[in-house]
Amino acid sequence: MAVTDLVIETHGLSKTYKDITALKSLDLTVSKNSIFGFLGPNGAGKTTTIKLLLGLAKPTAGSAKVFGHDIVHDNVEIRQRVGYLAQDPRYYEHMSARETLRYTAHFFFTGPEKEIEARVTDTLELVGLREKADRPIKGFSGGERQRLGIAQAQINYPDLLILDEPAASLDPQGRRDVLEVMEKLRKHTTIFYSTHILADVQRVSDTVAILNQGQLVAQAPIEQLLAGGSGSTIYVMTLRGATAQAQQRVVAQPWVSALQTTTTDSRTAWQVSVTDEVAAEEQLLRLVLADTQVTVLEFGRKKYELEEVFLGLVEGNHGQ
Amino acid sequence: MASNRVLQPVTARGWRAGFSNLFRKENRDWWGTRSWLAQAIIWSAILIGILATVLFAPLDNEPSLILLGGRSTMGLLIFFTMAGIALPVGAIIMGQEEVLDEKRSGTAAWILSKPVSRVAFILAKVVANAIGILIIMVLLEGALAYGLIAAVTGHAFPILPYLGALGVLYVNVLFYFLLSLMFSAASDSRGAAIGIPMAILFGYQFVVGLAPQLLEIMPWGLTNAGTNGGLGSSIAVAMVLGQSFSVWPIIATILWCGLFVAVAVWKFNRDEF
Repeated sequence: MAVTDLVIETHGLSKTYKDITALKSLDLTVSKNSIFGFLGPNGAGKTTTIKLLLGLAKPTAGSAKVFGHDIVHDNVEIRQRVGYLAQDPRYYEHMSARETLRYTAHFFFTGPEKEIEARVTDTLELVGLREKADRPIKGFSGGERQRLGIAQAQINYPDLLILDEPAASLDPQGRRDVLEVMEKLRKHTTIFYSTHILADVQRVSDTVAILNQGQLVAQAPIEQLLAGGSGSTIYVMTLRGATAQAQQRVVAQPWVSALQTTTTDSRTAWQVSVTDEVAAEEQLLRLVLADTQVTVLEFGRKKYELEEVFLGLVEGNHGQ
Repeated sequence: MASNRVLQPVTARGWRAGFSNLFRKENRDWWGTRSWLAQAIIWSAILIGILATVLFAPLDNEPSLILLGGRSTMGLLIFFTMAGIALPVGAIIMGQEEVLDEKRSGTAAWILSKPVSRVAFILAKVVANAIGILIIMVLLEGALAYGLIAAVTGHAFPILPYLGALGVLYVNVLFYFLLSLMFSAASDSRGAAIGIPMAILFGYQFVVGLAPQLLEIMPWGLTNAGTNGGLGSSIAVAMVLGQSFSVWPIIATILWCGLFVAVAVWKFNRDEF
């Protein structure tokens, strides 16, 4: 990948608070125009990473660049091109949403006030807050605050949008609204967001990194991760009939590492773990169909749910 | 969406990044709301109210009045002494909340996630409040006191020395404001941000009793009665009356102010959000 395609790159990035290691030697790359889901259980180090990238905290070791700028020395330049929504965003409660966005916009732009106002109004429209734009924030619901958070994060049309748990405190409707806004923005910007809501990640992300206890345990395109890219490849088959001979034939193949069977009613489900995908795709189905006593009802590569992958990686039992 | 063509990116970098917007906001907090009016009314009620009470009191045969040299001098002394205590109390209350409240509420973290330097964050508060304090708490009250003394006693003090005395009062108030702001930036304790400046403000008599030479490097002699030798005099009053005084407390207080700002910036730069 060309260096210019990388928006974020970290090398051995570490952060220790007194005796607690929040982040251990993180090596991460985020490419341009991706929606990058940053997953991990609470306390995994997601927020710490984000704060380091923004210059809100300083690394104990390692280095990182955002748009090629060093996070320690050039963080003002980084923040010029970034929009950030904190996990628990706080604003001046006496200000209205419009005043908050106007104030935020002035950190990024100079120009005619009417153009700033047009930008503010467009942004309020984008997040559906236009009708409440002039009410003080102190009366806003959690969902409205979160929408305001996204609005202030993207008022500068950032090249990188960093969202820390954008949907965590929202009801299902609020979550849906936030994801819709993210999908609207994806064509304009790179989105790096942390979450522990796996269904959201599966819906909108194209690349995923999983962090656990301050360490990166996986980083891959989501399709690769869901296809078992972080462990061995598994093929699933549903069979009817006497499967014992076919099972012996399959297990004897050098590229088969394991075969799990489950029988329900008259059907037998196989999960065949393989070490050679090409061999498996060429031979596995033929080996079984060679047995005339067996009927193949289903055959395919196992699709993981993200939750399965996540729990497997976090709990260290993936592929078992 | 709005066009990007007309809007230009802010170009300020380094310590100035974000300063103009922060400064505008801090100024709006003073002048864009009724805060300035409330401040003006409160300080006028306290300082000018007390001054008027003294000036209109039937004290013609009081020996202290004769010793002081007349009602106008007594008014001058009362004003600077009272302003030298009351205004710092107000400044301490203002200073302690400036950074601490923003750290605690999370708004500091929000602001610092924008292209803003931490130096600009502190300096915007310092400069905007220094202007507000100068105009509302020092110049306005000083002008009202000057007019009241002149109107009641028929004696107008020379303008330039009086302005110089107001400058001394201003330095005194800034000392306590910046001291409080420094603790507000450097610690998470409201007790420290209020208590330490208050202890310095009110504990001077005890300290000076033990080490009188401290008067030369601390702000206590600027406005407190009886600290510049002679009955009731202070540096500010001595300046108006043409009496001799030491400039070292003024210079030292200005240096202290610079140090407090430097420490606030240094500590805030090291904070993590």
